[in-house]
Amino acid sequence: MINRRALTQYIVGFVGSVLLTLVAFYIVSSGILTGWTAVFYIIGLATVQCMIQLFFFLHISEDGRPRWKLHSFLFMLFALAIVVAGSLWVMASLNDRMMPTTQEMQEYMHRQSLNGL
Amino acid sequence: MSQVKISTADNRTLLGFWIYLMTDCVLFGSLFATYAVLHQNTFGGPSGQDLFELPYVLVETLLLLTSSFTAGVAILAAKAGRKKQVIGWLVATLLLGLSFLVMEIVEFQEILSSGYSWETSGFLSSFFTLVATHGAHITIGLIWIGVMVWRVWKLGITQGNLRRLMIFSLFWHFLDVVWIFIFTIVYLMGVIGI
Repeated sequence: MINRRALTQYIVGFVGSVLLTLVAFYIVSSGILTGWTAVFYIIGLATVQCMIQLFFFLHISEDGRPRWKLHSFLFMLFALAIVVAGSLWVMASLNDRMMPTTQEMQEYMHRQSLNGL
Repeated sequence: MSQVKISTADNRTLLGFWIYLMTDCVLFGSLFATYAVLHQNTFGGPSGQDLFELPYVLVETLLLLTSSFTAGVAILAAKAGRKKQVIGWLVATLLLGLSFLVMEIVEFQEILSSGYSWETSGFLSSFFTLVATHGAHITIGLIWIGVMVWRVWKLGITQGNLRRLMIFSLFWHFLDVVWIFIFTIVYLMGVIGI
């Protein structure tokens, strides 16, 4: 016989994921929320759905001891945070320092020429 | 039918595969970071708002989600030793996954036929790299399901086959988790325009 309890877990995970997907889709397609507010909510919904699938589909809580699955997962999150946040930070700062507009460039050259350069 | 058990060595194999999946997460993370950095560099080409059709992508998302569920049920059937059910659920997973892949290829084809490609802009380069890397994983997964259907058909639910099925289901569930973020960060945020 198929394990009822395990099957219930999969059904709960599946129905939960479908609902969260539909809510995120509705928020964006209906336009009830816009801009960064909408982004805040859909990222939140994606995170909840990710947790649901981690528990009900990937069974991250059914780990041996020591909990290597959980530990390697948390370490991966740490590496991921460095890569993603680091890239965004560095590149945004780099963008700020690049490609001045023509006017900014002329002002800069004017200041330099006043200094006798 | 007797219940098939997995051994300590099998658990070690599963953990090894889990660690591979974690490294794959970092790979996808770096592609997401690339996309996040480049997604506004449209270079006069189309933006996400011009290209993405949300209802179409929603259907793709639901197909992949359902296939993740059927893959899970296939494992439960395998643990219960039900050979025919395992094959049935695996074939369902295969068909759902294949429909997802076909829809994705059609979407790419439409972008290409309107004259844009990965050469158009930084946005489209990073978009194609991220989404197609996921698609390549799905393609490998589909071949894997085909092989597993054949193995279960020929050999039945042996301990080795159960282990392979469990590793496959980890891979397939993982791909659906990655897709949640592609759906949210690429498509939904693309349509919002941020």
